Amino acid sequence: MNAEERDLQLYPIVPENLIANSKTISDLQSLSSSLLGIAAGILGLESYTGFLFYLLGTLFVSTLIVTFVMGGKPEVYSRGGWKDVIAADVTGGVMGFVLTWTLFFGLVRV
Amino acid sequence: MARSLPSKLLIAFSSILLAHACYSAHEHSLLSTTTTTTHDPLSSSSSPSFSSPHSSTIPSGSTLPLDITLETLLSVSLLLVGIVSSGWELKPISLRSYAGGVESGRILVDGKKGKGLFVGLEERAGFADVRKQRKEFTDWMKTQG
Repeated sequence: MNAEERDLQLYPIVPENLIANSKTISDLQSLSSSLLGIAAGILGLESYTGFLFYLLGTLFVSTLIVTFVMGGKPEVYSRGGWKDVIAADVTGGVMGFVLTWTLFFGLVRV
Repeated sequence: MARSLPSKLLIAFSSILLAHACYSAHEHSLLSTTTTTTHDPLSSSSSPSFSSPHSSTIPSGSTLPLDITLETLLSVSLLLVGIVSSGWELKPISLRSYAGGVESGRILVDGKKGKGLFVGLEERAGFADVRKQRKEFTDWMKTQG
């Protein structure tokens, strides 16, 4: 029995809550990354600038999630703490971001 | 998820702001492309009314004015704040704090106060009354003949 298993035995977790929390966070991140894509399309960002904008935007959203939704204590609601929130946020919404980015780039710039 | 009134207002206001910024950016790109291509003989007949005396000051269609940029950034950050602060609920994942919250009524299960995670053990039937059941059985046997 390694250290992590022993930790789980001593401090058991509720799997349903873990799944529900990650689903809520992924809902939030798909919404917010689409909005960031709209902003990037309106601003007319191209290539690396757009992805830099996405990175900064998701960091902002993660900060908001940790402060508002989690009340400043991310380790209560997700297993990895704030690192987990940021990693899920950055990797989860890239597709939605690129979709609305290209859409609004094309809409605004004819 | 119950949205509070301030976040609803914030979402509505910043959506209008974002739509306005999008419209402004579209108009600006339309204006700058028509003004810079008025010297082009192919598109000169399409809309000559857009040619303004400021056509030489607008370099190309790729640069937005500062106010549209600021409006976009402001509206998106306000919209993100409004969405994030609109009553998303997370539950604590450790069994200790979750069970404690359910039992004390701080955390609602399916919209009502739960009775703790061990309700199946706490609320069970008492011992069966064997004498009463045997008497019922003998009465039934007598009625059967």
